[in-house]
Amino acid sequence: MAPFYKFDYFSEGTGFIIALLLGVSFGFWLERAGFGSSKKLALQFYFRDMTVLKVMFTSIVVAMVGLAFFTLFGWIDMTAVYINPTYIWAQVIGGLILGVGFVVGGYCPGTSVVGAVTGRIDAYFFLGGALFGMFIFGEMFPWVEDLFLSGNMGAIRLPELFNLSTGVVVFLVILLAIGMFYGGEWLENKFREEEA
Amino acid sequence: MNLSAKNIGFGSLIIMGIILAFSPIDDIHVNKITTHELVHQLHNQSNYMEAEEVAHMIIDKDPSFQIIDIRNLDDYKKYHIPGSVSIPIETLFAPETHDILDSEKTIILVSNGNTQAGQAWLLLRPRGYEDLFVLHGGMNHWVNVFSNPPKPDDGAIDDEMFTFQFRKAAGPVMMGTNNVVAASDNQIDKPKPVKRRRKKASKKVDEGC
Repeated sequence: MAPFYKFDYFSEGTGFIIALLLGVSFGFWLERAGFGSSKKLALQFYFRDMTVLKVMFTSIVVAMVGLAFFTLFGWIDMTAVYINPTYIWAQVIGGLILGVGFVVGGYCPGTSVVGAVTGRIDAYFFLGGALFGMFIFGEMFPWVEDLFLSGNMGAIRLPELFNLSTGVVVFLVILLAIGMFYGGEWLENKFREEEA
Repeated sequence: MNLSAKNIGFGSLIIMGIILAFSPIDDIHVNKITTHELVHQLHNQSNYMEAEEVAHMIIDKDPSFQIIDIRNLDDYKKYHIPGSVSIPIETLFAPETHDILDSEKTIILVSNGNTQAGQAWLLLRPRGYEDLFVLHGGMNHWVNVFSNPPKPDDGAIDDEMFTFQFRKAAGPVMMGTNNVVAASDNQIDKPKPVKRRRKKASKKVDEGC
C-alpha cells in the first residue's frame, strides 16, 4: 500500500534515488514540451500559446484522477501523504512576485534550470537572479516573517474549503480543466488572428 | 461531434469524473494497517524505541510524546519513568483510556520486558495510532542502564563511551533514587541498535514548476 516510503517499504536513501529519477524525468519532459525556451513560456502571457496552461492542467487532472481512483481502490492512504499547508496571504503575494518574474524573465524556477542545462544564456541570468533573490529573502527574513506566516489555513484541501465531497470536487476540477483547454484554444486563435 | 482523439479523451475524463463524483471516496479509510505490514514492522523491529532516545525526549521536555506504562498499578506506584502515565494492559480499551491516548503524539509503550508492550502494540497499532513504539527492553533494561550502566571495555569506540556517559549522567534524573530493583517477569535480551523510523513532526516540502 502506498505511500511506500511512509510504510517503510524503502529507506530514505532509496527515496533520494527515486526522487533523483523523478526529477530528471520531470526536467526531460519539461524540455520535450518546449519549456526550455523562454520565448515559448512568455507567449503564454500574451495568450498566443497556451501550452503552459494545458500542461499544468493535464498534470493536475492526471494526478488528481489517479489519486482519487487509487484511494477508491484502497491502494493509497491519502492521510499519510504530506500536504503543503496553505498560508493564503503569503502565497498570494509570493505568487504575484513569482508571476512578475515569470513575465519579465520568461522562466519559472524549474524551467530556468531546464533552459540552463540546454545551454540558453538567458536562463543562466534568470537562475543567477533567482539565487540572488533567495539570498535577499534569507537576509531580510526577520522583517518578512509575519507576512511569511500570514493567513495560515493549515493543510486544507478544496473539499474541506467548499464542504463538498472529494469526488464532486474532482468532477468540478475536470470540468474546469476542459473549460480551460477550450478557453485557451479560443484565446490562442483570437490573439493569433490579431497578430496576423 | 467527430471522434477525434481529443473528444475521446475529454469524454472519458468526464465519465471518470462522474464515477468519482458518486463514489464514496471520503468513506474509504485505508488508514487501517494490514496484517502484512504489522508483521513487516515487527520483523524489522521498527516498532522499538531505545531507552536512551526516550531519556533524551524526557530531558528535552519534548511535548510531542506520551509514555504509557501498561504494568499493573502497584508496579507503577513503586517506580515509573518520569512523566509516564499508567494504563494497565487490561484497561487498554476502556473508554477513559481512549481520552488519554493522543493519536497525534508519539506513544511509547512500557512494560517490564518487550513481550507485554509488544502485545499492546499489536492491539493498538491497527486502531489508528501511527507513531506507536515499544520501549526496547522495557523497565528491566531501563532500570539496568540508568541505575547501573555497564561500563564499556577499554577498546570501546567513542559512541559506546558517549552512551555510557549519557546513561550515567541521566541516571539520577531517570531513576529518582538509585535503589530501585527491576521487577522481573520477562527475561530480556541485550538490545541491539535497530533501524527504526519515526514520523517527522512536519516535513517542509518545496515544490514548484
